[in-house]
Order: sequence, then C-alpha cells, then structure tokens
Amino acid sequence: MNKFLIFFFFYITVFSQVSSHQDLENYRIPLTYHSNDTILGLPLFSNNFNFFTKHSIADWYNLSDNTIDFENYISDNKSIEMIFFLDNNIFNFGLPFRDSYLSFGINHHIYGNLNFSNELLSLFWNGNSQYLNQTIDFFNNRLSFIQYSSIYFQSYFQYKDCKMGARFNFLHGINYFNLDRGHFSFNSVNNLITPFSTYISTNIYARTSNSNLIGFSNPGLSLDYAVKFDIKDFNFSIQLENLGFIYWNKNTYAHNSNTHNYLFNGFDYTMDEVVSEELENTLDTLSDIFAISSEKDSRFITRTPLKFSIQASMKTSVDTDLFIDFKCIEDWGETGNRDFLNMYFIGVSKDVSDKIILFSTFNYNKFSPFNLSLGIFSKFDNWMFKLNTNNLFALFSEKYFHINTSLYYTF
Amino acid sequence: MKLKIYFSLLILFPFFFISCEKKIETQNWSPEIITPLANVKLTLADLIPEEGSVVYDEDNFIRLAYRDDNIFSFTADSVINIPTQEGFSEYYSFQDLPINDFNEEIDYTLEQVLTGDPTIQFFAEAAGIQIPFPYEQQVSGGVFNILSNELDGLGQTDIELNQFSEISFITGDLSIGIQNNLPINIENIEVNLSTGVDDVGLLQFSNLQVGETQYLTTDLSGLTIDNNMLVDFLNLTLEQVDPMSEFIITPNSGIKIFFQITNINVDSVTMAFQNQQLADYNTIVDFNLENGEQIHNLILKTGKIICELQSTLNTNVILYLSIPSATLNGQLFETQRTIYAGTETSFEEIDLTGLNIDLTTDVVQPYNKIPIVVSAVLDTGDDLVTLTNQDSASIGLSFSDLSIEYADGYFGDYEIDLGGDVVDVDLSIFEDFDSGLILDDPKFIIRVFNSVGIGANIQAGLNAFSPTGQNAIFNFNEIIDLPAFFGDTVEQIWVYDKYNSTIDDIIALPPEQIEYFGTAFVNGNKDNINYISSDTKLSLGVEVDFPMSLNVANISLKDTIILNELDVNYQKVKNLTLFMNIDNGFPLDTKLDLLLRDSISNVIFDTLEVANFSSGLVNEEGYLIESVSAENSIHLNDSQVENFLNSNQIVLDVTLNTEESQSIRLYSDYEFIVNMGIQLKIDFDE
Repeated sequence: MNKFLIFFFFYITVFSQVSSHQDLENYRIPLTYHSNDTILGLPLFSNNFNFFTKHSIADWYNLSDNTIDFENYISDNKSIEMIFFLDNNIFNFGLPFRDSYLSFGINHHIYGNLNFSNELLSLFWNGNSQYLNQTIDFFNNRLSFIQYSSIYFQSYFQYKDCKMGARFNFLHGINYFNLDRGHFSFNSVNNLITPFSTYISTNIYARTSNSNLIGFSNPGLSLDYAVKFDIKDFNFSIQLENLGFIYWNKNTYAHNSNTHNYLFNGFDYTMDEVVSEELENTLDTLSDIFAISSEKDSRFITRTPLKFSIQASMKTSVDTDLFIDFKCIEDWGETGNRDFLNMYFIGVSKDVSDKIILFSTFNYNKFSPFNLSLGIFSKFDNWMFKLNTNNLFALFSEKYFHINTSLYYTF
Repeated sequence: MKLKIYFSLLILFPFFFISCEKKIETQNWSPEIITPLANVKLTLADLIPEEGSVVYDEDNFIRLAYRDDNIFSFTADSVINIPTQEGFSEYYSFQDLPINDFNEEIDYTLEQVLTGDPTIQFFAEAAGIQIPFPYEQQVSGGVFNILSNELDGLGQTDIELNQFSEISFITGDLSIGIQNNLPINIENIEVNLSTGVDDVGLLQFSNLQVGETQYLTTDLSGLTIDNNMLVDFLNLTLEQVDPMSEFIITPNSGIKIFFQITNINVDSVTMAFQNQQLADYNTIVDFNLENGEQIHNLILKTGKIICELQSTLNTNVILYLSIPSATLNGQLFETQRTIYAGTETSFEEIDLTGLNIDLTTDVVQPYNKIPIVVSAVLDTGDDLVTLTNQDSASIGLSFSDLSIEYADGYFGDYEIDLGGDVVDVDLSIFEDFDSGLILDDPKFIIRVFNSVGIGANIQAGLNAFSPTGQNAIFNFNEIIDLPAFFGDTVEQIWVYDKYNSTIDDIIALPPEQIEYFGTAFVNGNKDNINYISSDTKLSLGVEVDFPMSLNVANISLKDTIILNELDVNYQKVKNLTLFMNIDNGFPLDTKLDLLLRDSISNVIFDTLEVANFSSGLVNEEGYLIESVSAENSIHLNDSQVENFLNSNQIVLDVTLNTEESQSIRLYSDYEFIVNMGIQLKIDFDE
C-alpha cells in the first residue's frame, strides 16, 4: 500500500453544525464556530491530507504488482512534481464563553513539495551514456519540507452581522528542509586523453533544521482569521490561515556543494601505488564534488505557508445550498519564487435527512482539472462522522488525492 | 451496532495496509553508465626496477652492473705460512754436575787463641800481654818462647761452609792454606779437619815464615762432608827467638786459614745454588717452509716461543734466551724467565711480537736460519736444594703462532688455490627475457691490485648456468706484475667484451648461477727480492657492466596490480566495455595482456588481450624520440565480467620486442600510458 497512506490520520472535529463546504474541509473547530456545546476532540483522529502530482503516479508505479518503471514516463518527457499537505488535529477542546466561543488545541502540520526534472530522472534511470559529448544541465530540481506543531487559542466573536474568529498559534518547528539551489551539470566527452572524462559543475545549497517532536525550540507564531457575513441571500466566508513565521534556531545547518567546476577523469595509478587506495581517494574526490559541506548556520526565519479561502453560498431551497469556493495555498519552496496552488470548487450541499448532509462539488486545480468531490456529514446520538474527498475517482489513478475524515464525541 | 462495525474497520484499515507492505521492484531499469576509470602509467622503472644488479645512470639509462673488488685475494698468510717450528729439545742428567768451587777464609787470631783457654789467658796476661789486644803492643820474644812451649796447639775453630749443607764427593780437592800473620815464624803446625760426617784428616805445615802462606791439598774423593768443619790445630811450634827481642802484635796477629774445595764432582749435594748452570745450548732453528721459500728477513706480527721444562729438581730454574740475529725495538733480543722445574711440565711463553729477525747469519745457508742461545741456571738463593746424580731435566723450545708482519727473500714458485664459490646471480631481469637477449656492448672487467712483492699468474674462470641447466664458460689467464718497490701498488685491468671473450654466451643463457674458481701460480723471481707484509695484498675483482642497449625478442615483463575483491553482484552487469587511449612511449613493440588472477587459489581466471602496439619512434642511436598513440576497446562478455569481478589481482603481462636488427636503449623513464574509461550497463531488475 502506498506509504502515503501510512500517514493517514483520522481526526475528529466536532461540529454541532457543518455549515459550509469550507467548514467541511476544516480539521479543527472552525474559527467562526459558535454553539452551546462543549467539545472535546479526541486525540489522533484528525486529518486533512492533500496530495498533488503533475503526472499520475500510476504512470510509473504499478500498484498491483508493486513495480516501478520510469521507462515510458521518461520517454514521454515527464518530470515529477508533487505537493502534499497534511494537517492533523492532535487534540482540541472548545467551550462556550459568554457570547463567545473559545477553543484551544494542538495541531500537527506537514507541507512539502518535490520537483525532479525529466533530465534528472533520465540520468537516474537510463544512465549518463546517452549524454556523451553533451552538456546536461540539471535545474528545476526542488525539494522542500516543513513540519511543525502548534498550540492554538481561538475565539469567536460577533460584530454586528459579522461572525468572526481569530486564532493565535504558537508554533514549534520540528523539521525544515529546503533545497534553495539544486543545480548541477556535467559533460562527458570522449575527445580528451581519458575516455569519458567528465566536466562537472555543482551549485547546491540547502538549509535544514530539526528538533524533537515535542518541545519549545524553533518557536513561531501565526495568526488565523475568518469572517462570515451575509449579503442578501448570499453567505460569504473568508478565511486566512498561517499568517506567521517560524524562527529556526535549533540544529540549523547550511549545506553547500563544495566544488563548482571539476574535471573528473578517473584515478591516476602508477605501479608503486595500491589500486584500492587510489580508487578510494578518487571516490573521495568524486564524492567531494557532490558532497555537501554542512556548516552550522545562523538562525533564520521562514514564513508558514499561507492559506486563503473564500466562499460564497446561496440557499436555493430549505435543504439545498449552492456554493462556490476558492482556495489557495502558498506553494512554498524555492527562495524568492513563491507560487500559490489554487483550487476552485463549485458545488451543492443537501440535507438528505436531519442526520446527514451531502456535499458534492466539481473542483479544479492545475494538476487535476476535473475532479468530483463527495462529502458526507452525519450525526448520530453523541457521535458525529465526516468523510470527504475532493477527488472521488483518485486512488492513484489520478493526479490529485484528497481525503479527510472525522469522528467526534459531544457531551 | 453498524457503527461499531464501521468504527472497528476504520481503526483496522491502516493496519491492513501496513501489514500488506511488500518490497518494491523495478522494471526496465538498466542504466548505461560511462565514466572515466583510470590513468595508468607504466614506466620501464616499474618493469625493471633499480634493485640488485640493475642500476640507473644519471640520465636514467638502465644498465646491469655488478662490482666486487675482492673476488680472490691472498695476503701474507697465503704466500708464506710458517708452521710451528721446533727449536730444540734437550734432556739433561745431573750425573756429572760440575759444582762451583768453594772458598772460605777464616782469621784465627792470637787473641782468640789466648782467650780460648783461661789458663793460657792468665798466663798471657801474667806475661804482660794485654787482653784484649790494643792497637799495638810489644811482646817480648820470651813470651812467644813460653807460648810455644805451653800451647798444645792453637785450639779448635769451626769453619762454616755456607755454600752447601752436605756433599758426597765423587771427586774433590780440598786445599788448606795457612798464612802466618804472627811476628815470628811457625816451625810446625798440625791441622786436623773433621766434619759431622767424614773426617778429612791431618795436615802438617812446617817452616811457615812470617807472612808466608802454605797450602796443602787433600783428596776428598769418596768422602761425605757437611758444612760444619772443625779445624783442630793440634800442634803449634813457634820459632825460638831471643827472649829479649821485642815483637809487636796487633789484634790481627795470628794465622789466616784459606779453605778451598775445587774439582768438585759429587754424587749428591745439598746446597744453595747460585747461578749454577744446568744447561748451555747454542742452536740454530731452520724454518721448514712448505714451498721452499727462502726468507731473508722477517718481522713477526705475532709469534711466541714456548718453553717446556720438566725436571726432578722441583725448584725454580732461570732460563736465559737470546736470539743473536734478532732485535726488538732496536735492541738485541734476549730474555730471562724463571720457570718452576718440577715433575709436572711447566710451560712458559715468550712473546715474539714485533721481533725483527735476520735469517741470513748462517754462512752455509744464508736463509731460513735463526740462531738461538739458551741456558738454564739454577739459582736457589738461600734455599738449600739436594741435587743428586739421579736428577734430570728436559728443556724444549718451539716457535708457534708465527705470522708475518714483513718478510723478504725468495718465495719460490708454487701454486695457491684461490678457492671459489657458487653464487646465485641477482640478475632477475634475465628471467624476463625468454630468449634472444642480445646486448650491444656488454663488458666484463677484471681488476687486479697487487701490493705484494711477488708476481703471479692467475688462471681463473666463470662457469655460468642457466635455469634450464645449460652452461657457458669464461676463462681468464693473465700475468700479474709485481710492484717496483715496497709500498707500491700495481693496478691492472682487463676488459672482456663479446669480441674477445665468451661473455655473450653467458649473457645469452641467461645465467642463474655462476661458479667461479681460480688458481694463482706464484712466481718468486730470483732476480728481484720478493717481499710481503701484513698490509700487502693481491686482490682480484670483477665488474660486470651490461648497458641496456639491446636487441630483444619477447621480453616478458610482468607487474601486478592488487585489487580488493569487489563485492559486486556481477549478474547485474549486462555488459562492460573498456575504452583505452594508449600512448606507447616504449621503444619496443608492446603487447599488453591483462591476466585476471586470484592470488588465493593461484588461478588465472582469464586473459584479456588488450592490444598490440607499435613502438615509439626511435632514432639511429636507439633513443626514443616520439611516442605512438592509439585507441582501443575491449568488450567483456558475461564470463569475462564475472572473472574480472572475482579477481583480486590483475597481472599486466607486457611483451616487448624490438624490430629486427634494431638496437634500442632502455631508459627507466620511458612511459607506457593507458587511459581507460568504462561503459557499463547494469540491470537492476530482480
């Protein structure tokens, strides 16, 4: 089973009411939530997992016989671009307070992306013989990863007709990796003294930081804000999350490639030397070319990936709502080159019964333009259950996989 | 109920996926990799290292060189060897031992006579004689007349003969002399001699004038006397004188007795011997030399005379030895030793180191002869020793440990075996020449240094053996000159090359062992003085000089590259091709094979024939002026790949050939360069 699913977390978010698709996608108590219920979120039952790939994994991975084959993938000039977001609600607790609703909890977050160019894949899969007498540049290879936890305090308040919520998150950075520059090139030639002498150029730079899963190092702060308001028959909801930063100060390292330009032409051997020693020396030299020197780096600050969503809905009948939803998540990666991953939803929600609400949308993103989502929210006695996927027909045959589930208990 | 089921399934869902995990495999993953591999530089120094007999000139020209300046040599000991020489050996019996004469003098004064008898003394004093005697006093003649009448004699006196204790005479003459120191004549005096053993007898002296000495002799033959002789003056008759005359007497007035024993030949004698000669011998030692050498002058580097002395005397004997024709430090050589002569043989060594001997003093044979004077003397001091005619002594002298510091003369004509040996030739390079090694200018040089004052004819040879048992012989027969004067050195050199010797036959073997042997025929030419000293030497040395200017066929040289065994699954390697750019800087056609070898099982798995390369460009002198480049590739099949990866050694088997009739020169810095790249296809699919 694909290991992505190992990190399949179930979460419970407890809602007295799931009022919007936006709320449906929340993995914790929505900012604008307000009720008289005291809510206890059960630990380790939270997940919102998004996985995007430019090309279907099935193009190179065969699930049925568990084999990898990049041959056609590479020949089709495809690269690997993947983005994933995972948010878990470890614990949350909410209670009404006067006219407000307060809640706090602990969350866990992972954001990451990787880009491997077709050239890199081809080099790895087919070898470098194909590039004889050619200079091959490897750019646009990227790998980024951030993992952090947060302790949050949020409050709901109402101002006139606007329902607002604010959440302060105290962050603890767990892991950070960002390949700021992942460039290298080489040129193997057969017109020098040594056959296949290779010019190698590297320009690699990355930063890392890590700390324990639980702790207070790598501190950060972020702010979430949401507002809901009605205009005539339309309900609008705007939400901004992860407006903040993390100050990475523990085990911070800068990783730099040592050599910028080098001509590798094998090891030199004379009869008074030992082959194994010379080979080892040459391998050491070769590894030095690509070796990354890791030096203790000064502390640095990164922003948390910004999330923004806006939704407009309209009740068309007592039990039916039409809505459009726009989300964007900051595609966090190469320094100075920020991008946003946009998702567009248009759908309908219907109260099938007093216990079940169904949501369905047609949604679009640049990786997977045609997706059908289906969500269900159900309440039985003191239990509430939610299951939602933005791409019903995913499961590794497509380029976008999303799922979140929840199971909660109210008292 | 349903919810519980759903909930349970939901919990179990991830576990299902985890437990279902299985290993991911690849399909169609066969990358083809090209990479530079190695730049191998092989020099002639690697193939022909500078070790053993291989040497490099300053310009890196390779030659085989061997030199030993002392293959054969002979020194003074080889020319002349003086064996232990017996000087003489004598046996002495003391049967007729001459004993030195005994002499004794005794003063028997008038004062002693008068005081010897109280009555006489009373009378003498009554007669007016002062006792003790003053310096002078007058005594009348009448007193003497009375004394003559009254004295029965002169009384007795003892004569102690300190020289001996007891003697048994075979012959001996005892002489008694009486000297009249009285102021009047002695008309008659009788002396009776007796000892503790035998009595000697009565002697009568008459008409002894004033101041006169009379001697009487008696034969002691057959008598035994001890050293306490009692002299009894039995009768004394003085001349009757005028009683009124006055005579002067002094304390010395009286008689003097001379006691002498001569012509002593005894059966035994117990006495203290002083300088009693036991033996006195002059002899000449004649050196026995094996080869008829005639030594005129000799300075000994080492040597000694060993004296052996054995006797029944059991006392010390003084040995005097001199060599009249020898000096030590400019002084005549003579020495004295005290040796205990007992029944157990005593040995005494006399060091002759540095002795300078003239061996030409004998008129009849003016060489090899050394006169020696030896005497043995008995000197017991005050100790008494009994010597009988049954006693004996044996004395022997011999010369031993004689080695020469310097010797001259005529050394004669004789043969010296110089010996020989079999040596393993450290010309390991020859092992690599399968056949047809033709050196342009090999030289075999023989050097002789001769500081010995003698000429010789050296006949020597080399017998060389190849690993296959073939042999070739080189002979040497030359005359070695002698130096013009002592201290001079003659150096002679003979150079043998392929034009004047069989040296090329030896080279062509090639040799694995060389046996050398030689004989020197010493030529002691009588027209010149021959000499030899401890510093002089005749040495013969050899030098081999084989410059590597050659014409060869099939030099097979090998060198081994050690590999760690590669822990690689060779089945993953689908094919492998080695690409090589080769620069042949050897002045020889070069064939390169790679032998894939396992050193543990000593098995050669495979032989990869890399290529055959033409030699670099060579000028007329055989010197490389330009290397030759070429490209080549070897494709290894599955079996060869497997063998390559299983090998822990790669043996470079280089076969070199010169063009026919082309002579080339080998320099250690010639290089053969192989630059290798590898193209490799790996199949990662399971």
